Amino acid sequence: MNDRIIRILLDSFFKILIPGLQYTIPLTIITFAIGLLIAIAVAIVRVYKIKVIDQIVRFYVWVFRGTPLLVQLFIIFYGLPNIGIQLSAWVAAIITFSLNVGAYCSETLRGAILSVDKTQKEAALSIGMTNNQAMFYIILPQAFKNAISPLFNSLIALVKDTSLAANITVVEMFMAAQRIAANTYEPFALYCEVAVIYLIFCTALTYLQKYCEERLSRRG
Amino acid sequence: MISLKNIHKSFNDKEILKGIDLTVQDGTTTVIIGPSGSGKSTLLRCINLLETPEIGEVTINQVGYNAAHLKKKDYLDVRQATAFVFQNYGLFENKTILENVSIGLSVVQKKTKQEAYRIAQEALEKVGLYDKKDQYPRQLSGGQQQRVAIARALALHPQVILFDEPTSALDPELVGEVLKVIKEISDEHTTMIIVTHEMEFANQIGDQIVFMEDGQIVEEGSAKDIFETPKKERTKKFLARYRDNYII
Repeated sequence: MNDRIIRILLDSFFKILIPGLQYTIPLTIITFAIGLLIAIAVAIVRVYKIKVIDQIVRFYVWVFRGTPLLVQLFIIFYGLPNIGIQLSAWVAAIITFSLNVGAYCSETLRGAILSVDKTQKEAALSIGMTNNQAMFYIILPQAFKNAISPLFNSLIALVKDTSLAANITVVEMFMAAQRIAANTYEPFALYCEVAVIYLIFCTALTYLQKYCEERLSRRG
Repeated sequence: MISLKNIHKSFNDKEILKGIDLTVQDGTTTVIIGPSGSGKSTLLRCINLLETPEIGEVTINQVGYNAAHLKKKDYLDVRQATAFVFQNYGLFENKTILENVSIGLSVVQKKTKQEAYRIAQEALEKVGLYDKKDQYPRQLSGGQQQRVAIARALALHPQVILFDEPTSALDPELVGEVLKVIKEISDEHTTMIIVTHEMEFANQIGDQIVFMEDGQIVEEGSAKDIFETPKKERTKKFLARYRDNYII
């Protein structure tokens, strides 16, 4: 490696990292939080088999798991204006990623809820809890524990998927790297550099996952 | 007083309970015995409506609940009036021992946290497990878990505690400690209905013994009536199996 490339890499590091801190990470956190709320609601609707709503959420999960994320982004950002709905790139990205991750996590949670031993619910009902109390105090906390690994899988996938937002003009890390690569004519170095930064983010999440799992498994 | 009138329950067209009538006086212990598959556990689960009978009426403290028209609130009322001890303990895996015993008090009975903890502490001391209060269920032995489950039932101060084969899932050496706790609370005249295969224990503890077979009550009476002078042929035959192994 010559001095020029080293200088470009050093100069660009913060120019890539800062959009990462400004956009990639907030986008990930916000959409994962919204996605989880959607997932909990959808999973509960599906476990309770609530009429009509169950059909609607199944349709939603089917569509969002069955179509490419990039296509979803394009439909919501470039497509919706045709029917009069104009969204900023940032809002379109939040909506799309939230709905997408919500669809996947809802299936994770549904499976985790169903895997909680039947006696746990019966015990909760037997002490006089309502179905909802049993769900929120007893079943959901245990389901989350069962679901922690697959949920982190989705979170880590989401960090990387946010790079697709570059396609709808959100200046996140990958877009920043693309611009510098175009200016310096050093795509190899720049794309490797941005890959390393993604890797750092995901490594941090891997450690967070390990920490969460250890904390939860200490409960007996 | 708890009374059951003409309880019928079927699963997939198979009739498990074929019209059960039973009365349990306050402060007494009723033990239900009988071969596996005779409907004992189902009957117990019908009392607190974990299973809903198709026909029949459950009366708890003069309030009748008819199976034909049960409302959501009836389920909650019946369950608050009863407590259930499960064969496989049924402790909440995500809660500490103290939380397991106190959660019904705080969430269901709407007591303050301090009040709930105080009552839970008393109940745990009674079963000798207050020192385990901050542990999680899986850190305890089966016998200890079942004692916590009994403490949870006691803490709720129900009209009746229902025990569904409380020692069947335990290693033989752990059965004794659980039976001892049940005996202690029986001596305090807590109303209890116990399904068990421990005949010696049934004989010791039961004010009323009920022998069930094939979804029906074959014979009921005092421990002396049933174990020493059973009248029905089926009761004698059933007990003979145990006589070979135990001195009653």
